[in-house]
Order: sequence, then C-alpha cells, then structure tokens
Amino acid sequence: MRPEVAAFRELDTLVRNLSDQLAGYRRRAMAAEARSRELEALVMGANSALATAESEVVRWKDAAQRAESEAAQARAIADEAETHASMSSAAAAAAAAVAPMVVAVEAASAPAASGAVPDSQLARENEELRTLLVEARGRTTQLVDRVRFLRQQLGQGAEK
Amino acid sequence: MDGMMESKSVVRVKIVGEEYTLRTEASPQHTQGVADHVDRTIRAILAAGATIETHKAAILAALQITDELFQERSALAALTGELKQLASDIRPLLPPAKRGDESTTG
Repeated sequence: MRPEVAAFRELDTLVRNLSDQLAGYRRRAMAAEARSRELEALVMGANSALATAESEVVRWKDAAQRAESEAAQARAIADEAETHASMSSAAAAAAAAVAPMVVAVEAASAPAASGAVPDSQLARENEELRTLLVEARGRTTQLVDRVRFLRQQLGQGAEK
Repeated sequence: MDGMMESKSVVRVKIVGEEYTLRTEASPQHTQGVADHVDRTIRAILAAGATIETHKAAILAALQITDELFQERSALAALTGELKQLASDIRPLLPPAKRGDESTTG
C-alpha cells in the first residue's frame, strides 16, 4: 500500500473513532443536563415546602406563646383565688375561736357589739371562693392541655 | 489508481503528428490522456521557438514532465507527513482500544 494511502486510512479511522467518542460525550452531557434540571426542580420544590413549613412553625409558635400567656394569667388568677380562700378559711376559724369570747365580752360590757362578722357569711364567702378556685383550676387545666397540644403540633411541623 | 484495468488494451495515440500503438493495462481514456499531455508539452516547447528538432523537444518535454513528477512526489510526501502528524495529534485523545495500529503509517 502506498504510504500516503496508508496514512490517510489511518487518519480516517482515527477521525471516525474520535467522532464516536464525541458523540458519546455529547450523550452523557445531555443526560447530565437533564438530571441537573430534575435536581433543580426538586430543590425548588423542597425550598417551597421548607418555606411553608417555616411559616407554619412561626404560626404555631405564636399560638403556643399566646396559649402560654393565657395559661399564666389563669394560673395567677387561680393562685389568687386560692390565697383568698385560705385567708377566708383562716378568718372563719379565727372567728369561730373568738366567738365564745365575743359573746362573753358582749354579755359582760356592751349591749351591741356591731364589728363581728357572722359565721354564716364567712362560710358563704368561703364557698364562693372555693367555687372560683375550682373554675380557675378547670380553666388552667384546659389551657395546659391546649399548650401541650400546640407543642405537639409544633414538633410535628418542625419534623416536616 | 483510477483508470487502471486488469486486462491489457491496445490504444492508438498520436503525438506530434506521429501515431503510436500502445498495449497497456490502463484504460484507453487514461492512456489517451497521458499521450495528450506529452503531445501538448512537446508542442509547447516547439512553439516557444528555442528548439526545432522534434527529438530534442521530446527530451526537453520529458525533463519538464519528470520535474513535475518530482515536485508532485515531494508534495505528496509532505502531505503524507502532515497526515501522520495529524494522526499523532488525534491518537492521545482516544482510549487505547480505539487508537488503531500505529505501525501501518510508521
């Protein structure tokens, strides 16, 4: 075979092989581009879901804070009511203890001892305060349950 | 080569007014083309006026045609070298299994 013909055929073979290689690279590049586009779409979707979840978390946090504030207020009311009730009980007990002495003093000195409070009135006030205390406790329990529920929801929202 | 044939053929050609009968493996068209080229070269030398004798004009034509042949051979060798160089440049870009046999052009 003449040398120029051999050289030409060799070059021809190499160019064809090179062409095949380039075609393979092109196919791989196109597949990679398609995959890249898919991943970009997934990332965009994930970002959107994340933004939604974040707004949910913020919303649940606000709700939880509000509920906690209400629970604290209810707790304060309940504590105050309990304090009043115990004070009333103590006052009633003291009144009961001093009642014979008051009667004795009344009998001994003045005909009209107007400063003393009757036992029945103290008992009634005591009963009213206990009722208030029971109501406040019930409300506090409800609020605590609500806070617990909101915290659970908040935890599930964060997991998303 | 284009125009070459396996069986011999007889071709009658005319060069500077004289007829020649050629037996050749080449095709009649190719043989006629060669004879025409020789005829034109000799006639060109005769027309230039420096030589009147036909056999001397034929020798000058042979020299001229041989010079053309050598120049073409040189050009062909250069072209072959360029082809080989190009192949050497491309070969590293390919995986080993597709680099071909270097000995065919070496």
